[in-house]
Amino acid sequence: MVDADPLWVGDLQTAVRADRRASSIPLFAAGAGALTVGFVNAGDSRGGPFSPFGWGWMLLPMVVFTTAWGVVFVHSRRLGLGTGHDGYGLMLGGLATTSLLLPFTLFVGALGVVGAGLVFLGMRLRDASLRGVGVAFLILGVSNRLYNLAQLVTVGFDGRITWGDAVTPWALGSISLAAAVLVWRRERRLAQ
Amino acid sequence: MRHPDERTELYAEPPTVALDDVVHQRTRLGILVVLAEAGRAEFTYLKRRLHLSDGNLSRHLDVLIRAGFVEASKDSGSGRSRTWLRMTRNGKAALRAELRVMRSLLAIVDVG
Repeated sequence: MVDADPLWVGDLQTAVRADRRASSIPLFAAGAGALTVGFVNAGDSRGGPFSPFGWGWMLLPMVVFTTAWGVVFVHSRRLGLGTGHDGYGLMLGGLATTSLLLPFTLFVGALGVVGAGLVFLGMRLRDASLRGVGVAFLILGVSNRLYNLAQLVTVGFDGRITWGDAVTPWALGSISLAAAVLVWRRERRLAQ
Repeated sequence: MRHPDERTELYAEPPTVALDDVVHQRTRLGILVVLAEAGRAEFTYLKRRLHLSDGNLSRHLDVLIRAGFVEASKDSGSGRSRTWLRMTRNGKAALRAELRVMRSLLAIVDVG
């Protein structure tokens, strides 16, 4: 083992974080969640849970981050580690408040909320890939939701799933999964 | 730039005086860093991550536990006994202090 200099301390912390797969797991969860929405919307052009104002959107961020936390917990415990201080408890509490108690998701969009969650985790873990994918979710998710709201105001809402409602989740899901694979490979290398 | 000899005069005492031998020793510092990152860790994980033998790790853990920086607990779930280690509040404070001293040393040392 090398001497206990600050760089070694940083490398050790990075290796433990990589062992926990702390960055790739939430990216996989966000990608899987977004692709599920895209898949459901592609086969259901009207009135489904993920139609522009369907109930499915309200639950998506909670499901994504509860799943991510659960997988991190099981994986870490199997390795012999705790779940660290990623802030999942704080984030899930915040999401429960904003997504379920307040109509926050209505204005930001569930994909935007998932993006905010990824940015939060990226800041806690000081991980640029989480922050970058989170910003992409925020920009595309909020844009799509603003389009939905504009449609609602100008032509009224008929429950129909627009092109953007199907394509945006596919695009974000693909970006997130691609980033997750790259980050997972980096974590595997760093954990050695 | 100020010469290193001049800069040490800025300090009432050298920053190294603030280093705690219990924490500064590289293996024990490694144990605390792992526990700070993961919240808690199992004995076998620490052994593997820090490339230590059972005896070597036990000896360093004894020092940290006696100093009140780490606490151990047994978990006999799923058929096998596991020893989990967790950093105490005093341990967190000691690690923070150690890292603070390291940073201040980096700020004044000039190796040309």
